[in-house]
Amino acid sequence: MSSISLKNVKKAYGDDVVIENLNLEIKDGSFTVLVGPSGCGKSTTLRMITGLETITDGDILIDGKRVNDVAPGKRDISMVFQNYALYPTMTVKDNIEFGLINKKIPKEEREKRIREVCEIVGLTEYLDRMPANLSGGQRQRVALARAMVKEPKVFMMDEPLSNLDAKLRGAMRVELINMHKRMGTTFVYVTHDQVEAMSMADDIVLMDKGKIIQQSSPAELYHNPNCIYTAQFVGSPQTNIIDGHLPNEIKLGFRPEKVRMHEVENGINIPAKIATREMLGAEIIYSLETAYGTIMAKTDVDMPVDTELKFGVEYDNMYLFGADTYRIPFTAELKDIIAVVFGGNK
Amino acid sequence: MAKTKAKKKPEIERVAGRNEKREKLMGYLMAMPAIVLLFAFTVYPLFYMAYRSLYGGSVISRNPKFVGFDNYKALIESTDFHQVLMNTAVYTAITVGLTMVLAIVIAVWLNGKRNSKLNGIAQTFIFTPHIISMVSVSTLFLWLMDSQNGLLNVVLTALGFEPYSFLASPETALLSVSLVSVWKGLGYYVLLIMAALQNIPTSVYEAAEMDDTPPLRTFFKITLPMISPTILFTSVVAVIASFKVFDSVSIMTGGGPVNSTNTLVYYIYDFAYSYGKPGQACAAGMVLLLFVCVVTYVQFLVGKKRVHYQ
Repeated sequence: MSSISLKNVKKAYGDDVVIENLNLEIKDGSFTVLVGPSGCGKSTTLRMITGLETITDGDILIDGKRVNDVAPGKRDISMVFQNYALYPTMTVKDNIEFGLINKKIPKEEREKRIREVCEIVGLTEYLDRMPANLSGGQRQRVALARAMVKEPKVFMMDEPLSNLDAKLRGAMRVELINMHKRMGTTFVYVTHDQVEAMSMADDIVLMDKGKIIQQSSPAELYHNPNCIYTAQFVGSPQTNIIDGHLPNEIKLGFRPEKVRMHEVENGINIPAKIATREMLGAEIIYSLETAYGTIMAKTDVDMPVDTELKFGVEYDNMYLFGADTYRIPFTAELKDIIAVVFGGNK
Repeated sequence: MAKTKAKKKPEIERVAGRNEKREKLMGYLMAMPAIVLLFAFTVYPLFYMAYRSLYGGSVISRNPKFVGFDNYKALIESTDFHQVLMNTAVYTAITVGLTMVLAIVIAVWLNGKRNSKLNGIAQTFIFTPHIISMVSVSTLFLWLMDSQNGLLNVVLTALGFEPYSFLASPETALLSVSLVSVWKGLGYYVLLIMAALQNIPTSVYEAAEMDDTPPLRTFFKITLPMISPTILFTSVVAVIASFKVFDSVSIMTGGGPVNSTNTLVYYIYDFAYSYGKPGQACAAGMVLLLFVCVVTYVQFLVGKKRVHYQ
């Protein structure tokens, strides 16, 4: 169990600065997910915490202790790699045991730990197999077992599920959540998949271009995005943004699932025509042609294409963003302006 | 309908069969030049060698006499031949052993500094001897190791040591010839092993780093097993090459002094062309063939246990 903090961390490759002045607190025992598009610096951040990547400037602290110059193997961190990085010439058992031998843990203790871990991840009958003779899911389990058996303070995972098929991925997600509950260790997890981040994390760190955009719980991130980037990153289809109709370059945003396919009392009502309709089963996604551009809607109301209607968005479900794309407060004054511009009820 | 179908099917099959045959014939035709060469210069000489090893006479004899296994008997009884076998074994052990150890060490070293400029220069220097002909290399070292004017002795004398006849003394002649082979062959093996090293994913090394693995243990437990298929292949090639050593011996020592550098192939050549006894030379050739087969087989047997193919 331990907390991690990054203070003014900078990472540069020659003149190419990829991360500048990064400050991050990872709470003790949390399941923290670093999420963002590829190239946003999330993997680099993870690797800097592990020590596999050196830092150009700043400090990294684990449990309040500065670890800048501590070797990766001495930071009490375990890591699960994207491609698992198993030792291909060793059996499953040797793979799991390797790190323990390095730590000079006595044989009896090693055997005991391996037995326990293998029971948890269901590898007991595969101990003598070579990694090449295992399926993707089994290799993933070996990688997890190898990380767990060291009983680390921090557990790092770099897109560990991306090489699995969709069904297995879903199952592993649940298993990882259970694992975190049982172990109580700090988990740091990197992914580019917002669904993975939302479903597993209790703390999400959304990154873009080497910067942290927002750090909060999944619910907070969804209900209270602090900028357009966050609002559009979480949720599918992404948040509608209407730009160019309000003064001072203020932008109006609302989620597709908040669009009502009828007029509302306490909000705005916009005339539209249904352009496309995607039936997903429980829900239907519509694209609506309006005077303000295309608006996406997600609802369980079934309507044919080409229907003309007035759809409504309640004031409570609107976000306002300033010229710099960051969230601004929804004041009574702005509400009046919106009502005038979009033809709503005051 | 059913009838026409039944009639048509064999027709299709016949055409398909004809095409298949034509394709097969085409394949053999394409491979023919290689097959002809292989038969003319490898398979036929091999069988002829086996056949000729049972006959006596000289190179110019019209009708060599059948002597059965007399040539082999003569070989077994000859103390010279015993020494030749011993020399070949010692030469192979030194050359292959030293080459493999040095090649692995140098390859690992070069691989570790993959991006430095020094690396490129070092690689060029190490590889260059491989592209020089053995005759030139031998001639060069003949001078370097010369007992009077050789560079090595000039240096030794300058440092206050007595000059030493590297190639003229039976104790060091074989070792000297071995070292020349190591120097010449090293670059080639370094290159092959480096290619194998570069195939090891970095993430495996990172996993080892996370496991707090000491460098030596990383080398013996991860690097070495992962390049073991290449090590097996290169050592088989190196052993066979060492068994066949000829040019350096011929140029640098001529098998001397007192037979101390006489190796199997040089012995075969000597018997066939200096002493004019092709029968016995062929018998010795058969012994060489047997040795190469046995050693290669043993290497693969060991390899089965020790080599990790992924």
